Amino acid sequence: MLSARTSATRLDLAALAALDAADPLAPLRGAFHLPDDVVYLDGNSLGALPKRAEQIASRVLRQEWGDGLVRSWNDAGWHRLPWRLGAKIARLVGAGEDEVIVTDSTSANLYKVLQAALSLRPGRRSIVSERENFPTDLYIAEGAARVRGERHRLRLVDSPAHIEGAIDEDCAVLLLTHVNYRDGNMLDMAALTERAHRKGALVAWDLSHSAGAVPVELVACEADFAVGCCYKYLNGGPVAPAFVFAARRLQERSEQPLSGWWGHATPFDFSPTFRAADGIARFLCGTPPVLSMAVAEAGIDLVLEATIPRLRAKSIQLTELFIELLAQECAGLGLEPVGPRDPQRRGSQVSVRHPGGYAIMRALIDRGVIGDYREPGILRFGFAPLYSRYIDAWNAVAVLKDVLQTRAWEQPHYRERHAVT
Amino acid sequence: MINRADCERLDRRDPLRRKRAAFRLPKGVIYLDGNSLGALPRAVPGRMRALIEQEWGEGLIRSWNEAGWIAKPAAVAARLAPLIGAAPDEVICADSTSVNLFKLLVAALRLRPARHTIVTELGNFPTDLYIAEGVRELMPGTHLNRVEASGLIRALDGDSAVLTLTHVNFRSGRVHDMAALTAAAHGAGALTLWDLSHSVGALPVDLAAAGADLAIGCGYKYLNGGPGGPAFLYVARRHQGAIRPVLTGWMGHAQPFDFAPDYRPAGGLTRLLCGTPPIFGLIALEAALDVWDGVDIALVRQKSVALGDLFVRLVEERLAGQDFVLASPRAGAERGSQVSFRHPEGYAIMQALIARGVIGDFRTPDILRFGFAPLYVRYQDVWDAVAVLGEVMADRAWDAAVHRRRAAVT
Ligand SMILES: Cc1ncc(COP(=O)(O)O)c(C=O)c1O
Ligand SMILES: Cc1ncc(COP(=O)(O)O)c(C=O)c1O
Repeated sequence: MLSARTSATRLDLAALAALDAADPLAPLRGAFHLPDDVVYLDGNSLGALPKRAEQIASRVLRQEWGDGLVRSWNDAGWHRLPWRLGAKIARLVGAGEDEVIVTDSTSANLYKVLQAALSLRPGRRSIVSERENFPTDLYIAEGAARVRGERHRLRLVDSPAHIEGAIDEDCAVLLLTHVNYRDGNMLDMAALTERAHRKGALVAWDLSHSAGAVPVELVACEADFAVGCCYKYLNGGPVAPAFVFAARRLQERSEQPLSGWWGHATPFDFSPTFRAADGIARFLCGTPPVLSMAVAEAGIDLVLEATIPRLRAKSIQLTELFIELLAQECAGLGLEPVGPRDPQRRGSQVSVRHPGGYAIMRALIDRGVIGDYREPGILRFGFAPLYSRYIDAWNAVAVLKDVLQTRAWEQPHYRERHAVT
Repeated sequence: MINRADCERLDRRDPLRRKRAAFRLPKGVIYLDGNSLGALPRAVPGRMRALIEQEWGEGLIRSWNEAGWIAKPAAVAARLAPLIGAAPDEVICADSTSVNLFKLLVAALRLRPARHTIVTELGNFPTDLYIAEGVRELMPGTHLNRVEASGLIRALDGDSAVLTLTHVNFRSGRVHDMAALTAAAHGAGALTLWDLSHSVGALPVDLAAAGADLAIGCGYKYLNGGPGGPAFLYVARRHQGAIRPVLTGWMGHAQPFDFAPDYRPAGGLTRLLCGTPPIFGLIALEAALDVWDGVDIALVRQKSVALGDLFVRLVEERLAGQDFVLASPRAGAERGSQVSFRHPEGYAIMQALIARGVIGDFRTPDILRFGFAPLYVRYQDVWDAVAVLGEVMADRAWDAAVHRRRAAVT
């Protein structure tokens, strides 16, 4: 249980407002459209709307599609979008500009990189991951192993401490999510990659909860493959395509079975046989989704403008203060902390557990405090440092305290499950 | 000989003439490439604005439930199901056509575990061939048999798991006899998988009547869903329960929001979803599909054939002796909604046409493709396009370096 805050200085709204006033990133909040009556702490699930997205959409729809029509593939640079966005994201994850491309969903891209990795390690038959990994990663890995026959399999470990021990001679690829979706735990990318390489295994990183929120150095860590969502901290919108990274040294040897025409060396030759494109383009498959890609650029640009070091510094301060506020205001109300206390090991979210977690989150959302719920019993609060304010932390905790103290969450309608949680 | 006034008269009598107003078409352009990228339906920008400002901007994450986002893959698909002779629960929208082909080819091989061969046509659209190659490389023991169209039925044998074909060929516009080929495949114990990219919205398709098993198709051609918008896939109800998905993403799980570590496929076609649905593209496609309300696809087909016949006739009458060779079936009944001509200078001629506002496209080695989307192409457009082609040939406008330079996308 959360213990009462012992430190001498009590946090109050004025102190938090003062932090907002001094926040160098505060002006960037103005680049977003945010509803007036909402404290939005779910940017780790769906990022907020950059105002420029509306202008981009209008231009792409009316001028590029409406007037330019099919000519816009060349004239408006549509065909370059996967590369252009990829090069921008590369700067956020410590990759070379020719190592990242934007396409398809995170799930589909995971499938591609896992198959590429399995093919690069033909003598090995297992994918190793964590039971606590995000489900789509596990399901996709299971599917990727199964299609190769009985002897391929997915092996799961029960805690991060067991990852290293599970990397053996049979492990072709280690699949990890850098920042865990449930508890925000951040793995040591450099160390785990090094351990895997020492055992001859490749590593694929899911950066969905990292890109745009925490520093990532794919090249410096010698990571092999990575994937990630563009609609979370990158604010790409519902639902922007995902990114995929393949280290330059592996690209020419990487083969992936979703070998659509956009991954061909010369797609507009319409040749009957497949020849993979040079470089990262071989991870493309079908025609890129132009509207959502064009719109996604607005959010990515804002992250670039803010810069990762400044975002990380603010993110740490936000999550630290939120944890302190929970201790100060909600001690004894039945919340149990989840995830690392050390900010260096935590992503940009804070999770707490409560047996009434689902209903509590519904009650919070009803009161304009939007986080989300994850099984079992976990309330997730994501801090997107581009637009989250310090007073948001205060207001969220104040509403949470009220909901718990008044037991407002016990009203039966808060228990009804929605399709999406 | 027919003249422009005759074409205008045909337009005035066209039962679909009012549909053109539902599209935003640029002035000074004759658009004959709706088979590659459909034109912008006027309803789309407003709907997208509401999506962005209200559903994303104000609703944020709540819109998954409150704006019904989570139900869009099935809901949008249900709107297009009648165009392909499918029941609403036999179609779902997701991913790209290429990705959906991958899913269904693997599913087909798994439905016929004792068989190992994918049969297709050499002239199939490249992505279909490439994806089939990808499946062959991935699944041990799989063969890929690529044959000429005339040899398809002979190629079917006891090892054939699936016959995969594009219903309307992207180069020639030739229409396969779906019912006959499906019957032949079934006779050999194989399944059929149809790519309807150049069919849906262009001619009546009746998957149920043909007994087809599986199908896929683009949402951005005759359905006007916008560049790179989501595709659809079809699985006949009789196969749905037995489908074992290969791209086992969480959106295809029976209970994705249980976040359970083990994969358990959802019922129905939901199991063929993979990642989080592309709401942007789905909403654009949904708004674009409103155009089809009350449209009789038989009338669409009638007009499409008439436009194509008129184009063939005018080109052959007015450009006789200019080396244009018809590369599409002459009989309208055997042709989709496009007409292709070969010409040794095809690429440059097409660029010169585009420079003068007549937009078709070019396909290697020498094919000029003209698509006639009957909802917004008029008879007078056909007349004018051929007139411009006549000018381009008469003054050799195509014979300029600028028209020979290859663009990245053709
Ligand atoms: C027959 C056919 N299938 C598929 C595609 C394209 O598929 P994707 O959207 O996956 O690029 C096309 C595009 O022209 C096509 O003509
Ligand atoms: C770690 C992680 N990977 C992947 C996804 C989602 O992938 P997709 O966009 O393919 O549904 C999520 C979504 O929450 C996630 O948290």
